[in-house]
Amino acid sequence: MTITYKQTPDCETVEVDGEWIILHTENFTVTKLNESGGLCWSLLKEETSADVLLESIRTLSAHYTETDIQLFLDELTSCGLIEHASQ
Amino acid sequence: SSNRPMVVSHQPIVFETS
Repeated sequence: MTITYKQTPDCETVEVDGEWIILHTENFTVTKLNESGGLCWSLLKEETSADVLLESIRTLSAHYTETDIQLFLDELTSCGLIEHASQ
Repeated sequence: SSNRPMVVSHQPIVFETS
């Protein structure tokens, strides 16, 4: 079954000049994402799989790979910003 | 792959009580 991810609760997001700033009000952290990261982040508001993220981000540029997405998801997980929604 | 989706920075917020 496909692994899906979702934003953890208590995240507040602000977009400024193509950079996305995420305040985690429970962990007291501030995280900055680049523009393509912000697009993925906005999709993660709902349960989303890596495949869906890749498909969406390829509207920005076709050269993104599955590895790019997986690396990004790993980064967000280690920052405590996303969690597995289902397995 | 330039400009892959990435975390630019990640920092704790420090409150001054200290």
